[in-house]
Amino acid sequence: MSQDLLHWKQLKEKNDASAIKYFYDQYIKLLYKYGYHFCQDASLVEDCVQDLFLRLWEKRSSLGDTDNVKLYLMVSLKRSIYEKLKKNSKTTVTEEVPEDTFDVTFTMEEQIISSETDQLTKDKLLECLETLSGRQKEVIYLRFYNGFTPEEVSEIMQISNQSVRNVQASALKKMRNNMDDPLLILLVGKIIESFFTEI
Amino acid sequence: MSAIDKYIENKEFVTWVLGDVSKDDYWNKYLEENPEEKENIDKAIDWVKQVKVKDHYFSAQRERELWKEIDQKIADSNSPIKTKTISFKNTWWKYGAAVIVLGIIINFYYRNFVPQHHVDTARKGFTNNITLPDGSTVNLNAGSSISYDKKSFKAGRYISLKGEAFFNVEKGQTFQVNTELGTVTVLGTSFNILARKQKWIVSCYTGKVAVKDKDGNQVILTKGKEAVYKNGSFVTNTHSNTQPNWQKGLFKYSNAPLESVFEEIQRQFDIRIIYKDSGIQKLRFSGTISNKNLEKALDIISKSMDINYKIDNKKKEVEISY
Repeated sequence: MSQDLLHWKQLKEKNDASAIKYFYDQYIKLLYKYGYHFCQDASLVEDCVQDLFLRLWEKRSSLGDTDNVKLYLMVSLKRSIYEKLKKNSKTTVTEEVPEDTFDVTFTMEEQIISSETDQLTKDKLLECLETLSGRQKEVIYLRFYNGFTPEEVSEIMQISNQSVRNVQASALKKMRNNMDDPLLILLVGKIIESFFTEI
Repeated sequence: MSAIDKYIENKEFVTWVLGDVSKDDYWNKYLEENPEEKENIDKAIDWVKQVKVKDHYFSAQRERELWKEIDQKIADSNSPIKTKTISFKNTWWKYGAAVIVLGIIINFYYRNFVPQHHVDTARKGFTNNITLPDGSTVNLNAGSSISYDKKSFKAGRYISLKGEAFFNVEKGQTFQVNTELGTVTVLGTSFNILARKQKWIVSCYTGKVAVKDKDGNQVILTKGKEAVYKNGSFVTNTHSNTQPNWQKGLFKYSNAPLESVFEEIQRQFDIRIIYKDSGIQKLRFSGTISNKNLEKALDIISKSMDINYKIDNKKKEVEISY
């Protein structure tokens, strides 16, 4: 049994408060940084992190079983941030809080820039990354920079296979519009076709 | 435009390199079918892999401070789970007891203090005989109603009246009838009250009745006396009836405005009077009409006043014209 699950069990069955400390030490950095990408308000994220750990303690006897505490904490934090944002927006503006608010700033090391073309390439690449949707950015953040598996990502992001497929189909359509290679269009067309017959 | 631009400008490509495995199939196939692009793609991949994300800085100090806050709050709420369960049960008991006590109080209050208003009505076209809880009887004229509190009635006989009614009161404690303009208090007697709009006439048939208006003006009526309330004061007359005329089905008028005569007819026969010509209401009528037959009653009025009427039985309407 992993250390996480061992502590989870201790918390649930033995009311061991040190388990909270363990999870805090283990995941506070990840949680804080992840949360900050949803809402660029440090004190709100800190409040939500605090609530998350307090709830963990208060609800310890009714906590469900989980096979991955890390994912559980991330999903809970995300939910709690959205709830708080919704609450705040109710009191100030009636505007709804969009669910797709993940934001991240991409950068590149200066060392690799050796020429003007390199500078242009870099600019183009960063520009392209900026146009990604919040969900796409979140996938990249989780997969590439935090090493989560695709299964873990879909669990954290609470996306079903069906909706993943839908997103893919529309993404391919978009891509076909971007590319001008006739061979590519043919290929993409076939892939999209296969997607739709699957659905 | 450099050869790798079309890749690094392509969102699908970039997200694929940065971990979106849902695009694996597509790009692997693309590579397979475009082997000449492999070099460019590899270059593009190298580029994309240089991309970093900026995370918000979370200082070690802030990390310690936040934990202190959490730890403090955990300590504050920290009671072993066992006592927590017991205190939960305790509150259950308390809530349960509170609900029962509250129920008893509400029930007690409801039974003893909340008035239970009872209303008796005589519809238009009908009279209604009512026996009150103390045995007194009330004969309600058409289009009239009384209301009283069933619970407190025996302790203090208070009744509200709208319209006209004949009371035959059993001996006992104070019996008071409240009307819009004032009250009638008795000790065991029979009397008639007419209290409609601004009209208020009290007739005593047996015993003794005290009639009092809202300003405190009062007259005492004995058998055969009648008080008519007009412009804020009482005028006392005598009458020789043993029973109000309306109980015999008779309505006696002397120089009464036709409007009030027709109002009574509307109540007695449950019809609607429509005045086709203006001014008819103001005419004055003297005579006696019966509530047994509408046509006969209208005949008596129309002949003495020289007016015409038309009965519409379906609509229950009577048109009055010159």
